[in-house]
Amino acid sequence: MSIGKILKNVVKLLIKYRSAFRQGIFMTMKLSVVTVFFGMIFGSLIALLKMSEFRIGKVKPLEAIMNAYVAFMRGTPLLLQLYFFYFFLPKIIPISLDKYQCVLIGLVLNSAAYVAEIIRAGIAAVDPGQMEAARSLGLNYKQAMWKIIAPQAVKNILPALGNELVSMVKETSLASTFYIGEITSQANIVGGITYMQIETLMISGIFYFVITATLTKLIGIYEKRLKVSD
Amino acid sequence: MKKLFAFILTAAMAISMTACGSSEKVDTSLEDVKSKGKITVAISPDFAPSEFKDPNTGEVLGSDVFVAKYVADKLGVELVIEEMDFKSCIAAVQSGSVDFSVNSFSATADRKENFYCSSPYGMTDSSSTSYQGMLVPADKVGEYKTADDFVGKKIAVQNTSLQYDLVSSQLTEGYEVEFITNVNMGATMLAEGKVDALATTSETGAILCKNFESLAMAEFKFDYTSTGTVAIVNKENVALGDAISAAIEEMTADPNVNWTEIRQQYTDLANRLGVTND
Repeated sequence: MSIGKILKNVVKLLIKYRSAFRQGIFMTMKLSVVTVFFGMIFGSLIALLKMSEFRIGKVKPLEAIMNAYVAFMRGTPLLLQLYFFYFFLPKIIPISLDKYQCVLIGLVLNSAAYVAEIIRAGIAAVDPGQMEAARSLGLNYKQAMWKIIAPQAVKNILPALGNELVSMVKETSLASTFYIGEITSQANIVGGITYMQIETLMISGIFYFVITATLTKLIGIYEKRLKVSD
Repeated sequence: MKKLFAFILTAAMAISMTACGSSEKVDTSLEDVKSKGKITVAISPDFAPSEFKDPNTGEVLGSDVFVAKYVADKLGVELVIEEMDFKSCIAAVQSGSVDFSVNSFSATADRKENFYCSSPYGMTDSSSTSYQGMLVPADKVGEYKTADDFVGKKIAVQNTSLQYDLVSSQLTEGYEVEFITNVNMGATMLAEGKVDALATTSETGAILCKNFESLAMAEFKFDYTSTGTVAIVNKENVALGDAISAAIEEMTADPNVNWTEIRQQYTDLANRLGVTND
């Protein structure tokens, strides 16, 4: 098929199915934003629990559990995790869950692990001299953390969180296996009716690229603003 | 201290294992569905006219959806459609996430072993002429007449499908298999020259040929007598499976249900929702 014909079909599809594609874009954005929002909350929780000094004998169980969780979620493919949460979560949990909830839980738990790692790295990147200086000025560990280290860590963490959002926009495409209604699901459905797989792939590609490019640009602007204080 | 702990653990395991052996499983599958008031069906809406979606309204449509609705009506419950890709439909029935799946499944020996296969539906006059075959480029139809002609060729097959069983058991060694998740993608790959053939039914092939002018069914036919299309149910849910089979048999005998007409109806609907390739 010629490029000309493909492009003509792309335009035809964009016009005839604009409602379906619009719904797809909304769903992708909804999933990504909600996921990263709750991912940030749970990720921070995980990071805090990891830093806790609670011990049983020589072992810090909270730190150990959280490390295992983060390692697992970052070490296995998200698609596998989605299958797992979709098929097994309703069996383990007594509350009834629909597919959106299962998929969202899977995405959030995955994102939380990455966010926890971003937070840990952000804190570690702060010059160790800062902690020394804070302690020698008489601040205890908690005060040093909250008043000196954390604000500086935030400058490292925020851009990385932005990148996590961009990643998540692309990763929501995996949920199309369950026809969750985001961009890739809609492209599959339109492809199924029209037999125009190549054209629908191009359309998804364009949508994803426009979204991620816009987000990346915004993050870039925000990063420049943060650098002003350096 | 460690030894005592280990002993307690072993004792606990031993006790729990004896408890497992004595439970009796009663088949409440049909009652469960009736008391819940709804039945869930797994469908993969990627192939018109059997199952597809209206992209703008999100409504799931198709001849298989018609069958599922008929079954639900006969059982007196609401139909809940769960959409997922083809192999997830099979996994969902196996894991119990859904009650049954209607997705143009053929009753292969493998499926009969692992699932409760319902009574067949969709047998029409044309089913005596329908067969399992290979979709190939229209200008190469003469090259593919026997099982030997596929040596050195790439064949697209849907994962976990009947066609895969046929390809692996009937073609002469030397072909290459390319797994695909849906049939439309396979046809696209064939049209673009990424594979040499697509294993599919003649009915599906006819639909694809209409939408991809460069393709046609090869002369080669697999040796396979269709035992019809069935719905699959989890093997343990015999009561539910029997009820579904009874409903399907009623549908086949129902004078108000003309399968050929229904297929045509959904084909026309799909064509209206689709775009013409001009």
